[in-house]
Amino acid sequence: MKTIQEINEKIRKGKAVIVSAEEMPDIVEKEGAKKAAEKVDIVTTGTFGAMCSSGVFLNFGHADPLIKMQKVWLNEVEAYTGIAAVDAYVGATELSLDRGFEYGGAHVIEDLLAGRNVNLRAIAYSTDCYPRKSIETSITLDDINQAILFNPRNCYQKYNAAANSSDRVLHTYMGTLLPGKRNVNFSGTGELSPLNNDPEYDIIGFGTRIFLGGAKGYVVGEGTQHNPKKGFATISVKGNLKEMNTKYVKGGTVAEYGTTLYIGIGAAIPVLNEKIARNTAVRNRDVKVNIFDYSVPRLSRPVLREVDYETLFSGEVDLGGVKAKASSLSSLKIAREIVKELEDWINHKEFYLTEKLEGLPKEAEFKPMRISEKLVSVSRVMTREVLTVQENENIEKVCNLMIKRGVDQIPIVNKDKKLRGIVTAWDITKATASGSKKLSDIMTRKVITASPDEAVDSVSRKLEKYKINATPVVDNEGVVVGIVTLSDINKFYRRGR
Amino acid sequence: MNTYEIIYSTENSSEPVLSRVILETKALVNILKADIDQDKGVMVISISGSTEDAKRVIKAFSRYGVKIRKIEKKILLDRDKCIDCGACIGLCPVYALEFDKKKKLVLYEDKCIQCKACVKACPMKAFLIEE
Repeated sequence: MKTIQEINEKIRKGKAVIVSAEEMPDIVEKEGAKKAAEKVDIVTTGTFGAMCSSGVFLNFGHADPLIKMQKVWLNEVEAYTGIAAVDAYVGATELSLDRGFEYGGAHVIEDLLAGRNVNLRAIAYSTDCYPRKSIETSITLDDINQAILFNPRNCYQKYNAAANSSDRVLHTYMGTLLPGKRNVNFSGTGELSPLNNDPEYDIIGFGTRIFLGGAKGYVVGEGTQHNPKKGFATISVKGNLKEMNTKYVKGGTVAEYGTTLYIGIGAAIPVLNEKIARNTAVRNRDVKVNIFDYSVPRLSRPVLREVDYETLFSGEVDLGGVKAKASSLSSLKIAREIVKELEDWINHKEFYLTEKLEGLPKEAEFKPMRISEKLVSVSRVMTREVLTVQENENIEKVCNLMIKRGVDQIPIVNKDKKLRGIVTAWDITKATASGSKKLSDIMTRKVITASPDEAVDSVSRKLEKYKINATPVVDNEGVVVGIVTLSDINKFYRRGR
Repeated sequence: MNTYEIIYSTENSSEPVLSRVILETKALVNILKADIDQDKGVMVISISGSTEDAKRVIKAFSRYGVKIRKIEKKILLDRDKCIDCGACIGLCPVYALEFDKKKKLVLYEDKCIQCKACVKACPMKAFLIEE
C-alpha cells in the first residue's frame, strides 16, 4: 500500500518510477501484481481524438460605452451569451454562418489558441447601464480576460465502432462509412485510454489533475451521458486555454457531418496497491466494444459483432465473411506523445498527483429522451394505391400513364409485385433522346426505398439527400406496398405532425 | 501508377471504343472512375504492364478519336496538419495510405490513384491536390 503523498514525495526527490499503460501489462504478467505495485509508482495514460462536447467560456472585457451582449459571433460562429454582459461560451460543434461545415466553434478555439485574430460581432438591446446596441472588433487570446476550456463530456472510456451494411455511402459522426460493411471506424486508444486503466474509478474523479490540451487541467466530475454500468464512463474537464498547445487542441471537420474539437487528455494513475496494478495491466484484447450498423438511422442500431481493440488496431475486422478495413478516428501516435510528455512533466517536478475529492458515480443511468409524441411511420403518410408497371411494358404506354395519372415516376415490379426498378419522367426523356425502346434499358435498378415502419423523418432525409421526389415503400419481401412522395411528407409536416 | 484520363466526344460515345482497344492491345485496363452523360464521357483508367503496353493503348484510343492523357495530378500529405488518426486509411481503395510501425501515417504516392476519398474525409484537411 502506498499513498498519493508518498508518491508525490518520490516525485519531489526525482525517484518516482513511471511506466506507460502500454508497458504495464507485461510488467504485471512477468512479476505479478503485488511486485508490480511495489515497483511501479505511476502509470501514464492518454488519448487524443474528436470530442464534440467541448467548448470555451470567454470573457471579452467590458466595452466603452458598455454593452450587454444578446447575441455574439466569433468569425461568424455563434457563441452562447445568455450569461452576463460580456461572457460567452463557444461550443465546438456550432457551425459558422458563412462557411458551414468547413469552419465551426472548434476552429475558433484553435484560431484563438494559435494567437490569430478573431472577428467579434455582437448585438444587444440597450439599457440604462449598458447603452450600446452593437459592436464589431477583432480580438486575440491575449486581449481577453479568461478563456476557460470547459468540456461537459470528454475522454470516453471506450466507444462503440461503426460500419454500414447498406448499399450507399454514409457520412456520420463516426466518419465516412462505405457500403457493404467495407470499413469499420472506431474511436479511443484502448489499453492506453485513461478510464480503461481505472475501470472502477478509484483514482479519477472530481479534483483529479490531468494533462488537458498540453496544460494542466482538472476533472470536474462525471461527464454527460456517463454510463458506468456498461463501461462507458465519461468525465467533464476544465483547463486554461491560454496555457494550452495547438498540437493537442485542433479544430476538425467530419465530412458532411460537422465540426468537432480534437483534444488530448492524459492521466497519471498512482499505483497505490495490487488492485490498481492489475487494473492498469489491461490489454487491448480485454477492451471490448460492439460494432453497430449505422445504416439504421434509429436510436437502437443493430449490433454486427463484438470486437476488441487489438483486432481494431490490427486494421482488419471480419464482418461475416467481409474483411472490413478498420480505421481509427483517434490518434494513437499523439496519445503516446501525450503519455511521454506527461512523464516528462513528472520527471521535471512540474506535475504532482492529486487525491480526488469525489468519485465518479458508479450507478448512473443513461436514459433516452422522453418523447411525448408517438413516432410516425411511413405507412401512415404513404399513398397505398400505387401505380406500377411490369418490366416488359412499352415506353410509350408508360409515358401516357404518367401524363394521365399526373405522376413523375412509376415503380417497376415483377409478377409478384416485387420491386425491380423505377422509371422517372427524366428517364423517359433520355430514352427519347437516345432512341431506346425497352423499359428495362432505361429504368433505374438501384432504387432508394423505404420500409413501412420507417420513421417519416428518416425518409424525408433520404429524399433530401438523394434529391428525389418519391420513394417506393417495400415490405420485407420486397413487395411494393405504397409510395411516399415529397408532397405526402410536406403535408404531414404542415399538419403539425 | 499509370493513370490516364480518357475523354470521349459525343461522336464516338456510342461506339464500344474501350472494348475494341482492349481486344486489340490485349492490355489489362482497370476503370477507376467513369462519368458518362448525354453530353460527355470521361473515364479514369489505369493500365497495367510495361510502358510499351501503355503506349499501344494510347495509340489505339487516339486512332478511334478518343482523347487520352496521363494524369499528372498528385495528392500530397501535409505532415504539419496530419494528426495520424488514420480516418483516411479505411477509405483508400488501393492501400496507398497505411500506418508504419509507430502508427505514423504514410502515403505511398506510387500506389495512389487520385480518387480523393482521403481529401474529403480528412478532418484536418491535410491532403493537398497538386495539379
